[in-house]
Order: sequence, then structure tokens, then C-alpha cells
Amino acid sequence: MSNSSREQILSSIRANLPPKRVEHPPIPVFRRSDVDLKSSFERHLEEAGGAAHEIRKPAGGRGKIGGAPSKSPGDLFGRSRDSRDATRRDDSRSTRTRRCRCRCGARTVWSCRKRGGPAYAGGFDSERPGILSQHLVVFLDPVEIVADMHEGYTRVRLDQTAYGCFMMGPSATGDIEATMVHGAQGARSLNVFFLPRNGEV
Amino acid sequence: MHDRFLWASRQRRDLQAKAIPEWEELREIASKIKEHTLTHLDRYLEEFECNATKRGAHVHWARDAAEHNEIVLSILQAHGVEELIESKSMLQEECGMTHYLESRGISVVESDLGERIQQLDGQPPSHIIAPAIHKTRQDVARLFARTIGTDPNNDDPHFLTEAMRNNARPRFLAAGAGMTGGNFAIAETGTFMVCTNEGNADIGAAVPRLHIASIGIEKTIPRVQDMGVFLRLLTRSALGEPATQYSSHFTGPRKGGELHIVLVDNGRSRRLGMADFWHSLKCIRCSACMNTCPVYRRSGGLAYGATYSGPIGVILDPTIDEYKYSELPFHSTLCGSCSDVCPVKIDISDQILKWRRVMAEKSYLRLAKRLSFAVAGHIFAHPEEFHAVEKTSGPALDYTPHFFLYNRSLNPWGRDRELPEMAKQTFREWYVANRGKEDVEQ
Amino acid sequence: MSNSGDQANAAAAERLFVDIFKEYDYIIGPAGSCVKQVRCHFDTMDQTDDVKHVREHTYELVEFLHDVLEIESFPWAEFPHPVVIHNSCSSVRGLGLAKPSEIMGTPFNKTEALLSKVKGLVLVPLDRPDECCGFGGTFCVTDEAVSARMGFDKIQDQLRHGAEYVVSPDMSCLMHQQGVARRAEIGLKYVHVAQVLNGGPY
Repeated sequence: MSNSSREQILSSIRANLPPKRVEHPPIPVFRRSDVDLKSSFERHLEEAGGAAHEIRKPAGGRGKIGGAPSKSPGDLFGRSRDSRDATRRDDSRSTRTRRCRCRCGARTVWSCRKRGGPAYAGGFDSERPGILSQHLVVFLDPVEIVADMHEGYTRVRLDQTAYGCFMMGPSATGDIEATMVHGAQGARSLNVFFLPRNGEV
Repeated sequence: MHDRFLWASRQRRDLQAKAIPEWEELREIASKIKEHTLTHLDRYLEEFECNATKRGAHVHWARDAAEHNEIVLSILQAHGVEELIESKSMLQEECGMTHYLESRGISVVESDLGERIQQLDGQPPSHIIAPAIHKTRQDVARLFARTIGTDPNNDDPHFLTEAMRNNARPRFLAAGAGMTGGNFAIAETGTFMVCTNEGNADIGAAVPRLHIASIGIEKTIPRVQDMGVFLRLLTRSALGEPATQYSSHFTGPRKGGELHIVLVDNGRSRRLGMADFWHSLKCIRCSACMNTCPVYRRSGGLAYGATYSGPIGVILDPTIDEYKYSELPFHSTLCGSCSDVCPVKIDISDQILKWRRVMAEKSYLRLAKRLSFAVAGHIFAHPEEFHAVEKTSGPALDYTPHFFLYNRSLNPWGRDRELPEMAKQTFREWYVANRGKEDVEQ
Repeated sequence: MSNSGDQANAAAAERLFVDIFKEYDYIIGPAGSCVKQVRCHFDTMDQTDDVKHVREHTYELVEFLHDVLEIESFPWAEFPHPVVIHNSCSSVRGLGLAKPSEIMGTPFNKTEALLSKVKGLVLVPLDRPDECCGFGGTFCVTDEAVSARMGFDKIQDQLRHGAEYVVSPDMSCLMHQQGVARRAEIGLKYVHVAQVLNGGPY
């Protein structure tokens, strides 16, 4: 029975705990260099196979998504409501696109070229089937870009959503002879549009 | 080729690490977080279980591989699942889960490209992160032609990956359940994390209604704030990239879904009690030790004959079966590079030496080695005998026939190397002759 | 023996070592792997005062010249050749003679510091500056094929950078590499660092 398995495992652990207990170490705040977070973020995103775009109004997103017919973010949002239907069709040739608002983006410094890091997209609760989309579009307010993952984790509430993902770029694999291929299982493209929160459709 | 690819990973890792001034400090912090967690493991597991359950997950406990498989089977059967899609998990490999389920009528499809390649070829994974890295693109092209009907002459990795994508998608949609492992289990929120580049864990967890996650008890970490440390170290150590494309956090089931978490012991709690070896539980399965190991890079993972290969395998596998894996600790030069690249500072190289002592004490050393060491031990302990051997071996080598010296069975040194030339005088003889007898100790 | 875990048979030799050298202030060994053994792995016998003294006062030759004597010049030595340093695993990771390439920090290399004071000597780099050459004690005969492969790759790296001599504080590594090179009929020459710093003999 699982109850007694639980007790047995916990007893076994207690019986085997190393005699010297170790304290949790403090995690310092690491000194940041004076860097433009946004351009860092953009460069890193590009290196991971994604793309970043500026838009002033939602309609300005037309024509910017690589590999997909021109669509404005508004159209895309409309489409994503149908995403559950989309996943039931054979979507290997369609260009279903999922759009979401990002909680924050984290920049990561890399060597002498500054890079941005993952963008966190939370709250996929009711719309997880959107994860099968061929393309992913993310809206990010540039003021929400943070310097590193330590800060990134202070901005998200893991216990408030069933699923949250830090994304670096589109789906990728290097499993065959270490050759990088994008669009392995998940999204073929990741496009980030910088859009202040008050510019939301 | 295997050596070149993995050395390139090591070089990229070095570049990434160099760009983070606090790299060595991060390693120390990560190591201490793991040691803290492991020395309070019972408390953190209970906290994880409580928080995960609060969010609606079902938490199960498995004492060993067999129980893990039984629990998974019973969940699948209760939901009438016939096909399961799975994301890469070394733990599931360790438990032999796929074979167990398939022999009971449940089909298991690997979603990770490298794992799927190995599955189609009937082989286990050879590397934790890149399971098929030992295969050429031509190998994969021929394999796909044979198993999923692609053109055998098209060995472009882009084409092959696309072929697998199209082959896998319908199976994601048809699968009754998705299974993942867990890189980290955060006690504070009951969240577990899965890092992938393909996003296959996300699909497998999101599309089928039922999601089952197998997590080793040692994967626990205390707080959300700790994750920043590990995420910064993990993929840089593993692949030389800042992060995986997807770092996914699961806390409770999605709306309309069901989540089962199976916490697995399978010898881990017993290993916690091994004073010399419990630090191996800190492992976050990054494979940096494999990428840096000059022996692993030239042998490949399958040569180790165990679920875990490379330096971490050498110290883990004997805890599973001491006799079966008694030779593994000798497939190392003790160069020490593995300990240096380990993001959680496991003293891998020192543990390899300690395992050798265990094997020697239990007489697991080969007879030839034991005998020659007994003789050598005697000679080195008796200076007069040592000098006698010194005096005679030089001339003896001069007179021993070439075919005998270079006999492939008797003298492995001679298979690929010339023997060294013996000097005409030993150092001692030279010193006595040139520096005077009064300097020499009686 | 000790490296293979056979402490029982190694113990008598280890005790003899302590007995012979316990009265000395400085015990110098021109071999990184041996000195590492004494400093790091003489830990299975009783840690008496004599044992502790010997462990703490055993030095490898390069570190003694660099750290203790702080030698600034070698006026009797001249070596006008392209030289590559073999940074043995024992000396780098065991004894701290150089920063390992995988550890982040300020680079340093004590062997290089000494050799750079030898007239005419030209140091050349390697692609893999401190990858193991494959000697590894009994490994070189038990895992002979992998060991030879590692040695051969090391030699190719040395050749690619135009080295004429390979210099190291570790004789065992040199012996292994030389064996592989001679079998492959490659004319690289392998000498111990003491020979170069001493101005010969070669």
C-alpha cells in the first residue's frame, strides 16, 4: 500500500541522514554591469533562434512573423480561441499561431555579446492545447525585462498557475550529429513583440 | 567524431562559465543547497508532497523500481490507457519501465528525438542529454527508412527531424497519457520542473488529459529562489547554452486534467547513509562530467553497460550492484576533470578512488592484478630487494627477445607503444659517483 | 597499487616512505603523480605526527623551485627549441601547479613561469592544454586501447602546434607519450622539466 511505502521511505531516509547537517547557504545579489537589458534580450533571443519586433499598435504586427501568412496580433488572438479545435485537425500544414502575454523577460549576459534570456509565459491553464501551435507569438513589455534568472524567479508566482514556462526560443534539437535544428516538436518560431501593457488589444 | 562533438560541448561550457564572474561561487552555493536539502530530505519531501497535493496533484511513493512500475501501470489501467507518450527520463530508464509496460500491453512512444532514435533501434540511450550522439546522420537515415519509411538517401538532420516531428504529432494527439521525469522538485510550492529543448515534455504534459511524472527523491530543492542558481548552472554545464529552449514548471494538474507524481527511492535513501558516496545524490543530471571525460569521449556510453555511464555512472552504478559493476571504477585515469566541471561539486574523482579501495578489499580485483600488487608491495617495502630488481631489470630487458617483450597477451604496454629505454645508471648510482658517498643515507 | 585501491599491499611501502623521510624539512620529488599520492592519498594509515609531517613537507620539484626557493633565473640553462608543456593531471588538479582549464579564475602555470626563464626556449600552446594523456597508472595496461588513443591524440595536438620537445614534471606521462610517439614513428622528444632547468643532460 502506498501509505506504508511512504512511511518506509521516510524511515529509511531518517535512518540514513548524514550526521553533519548542512545549513542553507545565503544567495547573494550578484552585481550587475551597466547594460541595456532590452538589446541584450533581443540579441540572446536571436541567437536561440527567435526574433524580436517593435510595434506601436497591435495592427503593426502585420507581416512580421516569419514563415506564416501576414496576420496582425489581433487576428492571431482571435485564432487562438480556436486553438483547441486546431489541435484536433492535422495541423502539420496549417499555420496556427498561439499568442500570449508574457509576465517578464530575463536577460542573460554572455561573453562579450549581451544576450537576453528566456521569456516567462504563465497561465496556460485553460489553453494548454495551444502548445501544439506551429508558431508562437509573445507580447512583452520591455520594462519587465530583468537582469538574470534570480530576479526572474522573484517576478513569477509558481503556485498560481498549473503551467509556466521560461522560453529561450523555438523548439530545437541537436540530437543528430549535434546539428542544431529548429522546430523539433514544439513551435517552429518564437516571435516576441515589445508592447507595453497599456497597449493590449 | 563522438570525441569531437562532446569536446565542443565542453568548450562551449567553458565560454559560458567564463562570462559569469560568479561561476565558481554559484557552484559552491548549488553544492551547499543540495547538501542542505539532502541532510534534511525527509522534511522537504513531506513539504513537497503537502504543497503538490494542495494544488490537486496525486503523490505516490515507490520504494523501488518494481513498485514504481506497478504504480504507473495501475494508474494507466484505471484510465484505460493503451498508448503512452513519454519525455526523456533517466529514472524511467533505470526502472526498466518501458519494457515492463510494453509486456503488459501498453505501448510507450518516446518523444525526444534522440530517445526515439534509440528506441527504434532497440538500444538504450548512450548519453544523458544526447542519447543518439554516437550515431552518424547516415545511421539515422537508414534507421528511419527502415522504421518510418523515409528516403534512406536523405541524411540531412533538418529533414530527419521534420520526419520525426510529423511522425510524432499524431501520436501525441492519440496518446492516452503523457509521462515526464522531473529535473527539480520545489518543496515550497509543490512544483516540479522539466527542462527540454524540443518542448516535448510540454506537449506530452499538455495534450493528453493524464500526466504522470516520475521523480527521484534526491531531485528535491527547498525554495523557488534556489531555482535561479540551478537554472543558471544546468544548461551551461550540459550544453554550453544559457538555458534550454523550454524550462517548464508544473504545479498541480491543468484545468480538466489529472496529474500523478511518483516519488522514487530505488536505493537512494540507502546511498544517503554511505559516508563516502552520498554526495553523488547531489547530481542534477547535466552530463558535464561525460563531456569532459577523456575516457568516456573515446569509449561512448554504451561501453559502460549500465543505465548511467561516464564518471557519474562509475560512482552511481556500484551502489546499485557492487559486484556487477566492480570493474567500472577502473575505467578512469583519475584525471580529476569531472570533479572540476560538476556544477554541484560532487567529488567524483575521489569517489572513484574510494570505490577502487572497496573493490580491492572485497577481492573484486582481477587475479593478475592482485598477484602483481602483492609482489610489488613486498619489493617496495624492502629497499635491498628494490635495488636488486633495479640492477637486473635493465640488462634483462636488453637480453629478452623482442617477440617476448612485445607479446600482445603478456605485455599490453607493447601493443601500441615502444618500451622505454633503460638508462645505463640508476639515479642512485649516478649520485653516489658524482656527489660523494658521505651524502648518501645509510 | 594505491591508485588501484589496493591499500593492503601499498601500506608497507607507504610506511617505509614515512620512516625514511620523517626527519627532513623538505622532501622533494621530481614526479607530480608520486607527490600527489603522498600529499593527497596517504590518508588510509594512522595520521601520526610523523605521517602528517611527511605529507605536509613533500613537494614536487617545480612547486619547490617556484614557491619555496623562488628561483628567478637559470643562468646555466639554454634551450633554443619550440617546447610544449605537458600539464599532467596530478600536477595541475592534484597539486595546483597550474589553473585547470575548466576552473574559472586568473590563469597561472608554475612550470611555464620557470621555463620562461630559460634562455632561447619558445613555448607553444595546445588545443587541449590539460586533457589527460592516458597514462593513469595501471589504466595504461588494463584499458590499453583507450589509453593509447588518448596518448596518440595528445601527440597529434603537440605536432599540430609545431613542438619539437615536450617538457613535463611527470615522468610517467612522458614515458607513455614517448612510447606511443616512437611506435608511430613521430620524432617528438620528451624530456623532464628538471633536465631543462638543469641545463641537461638530455
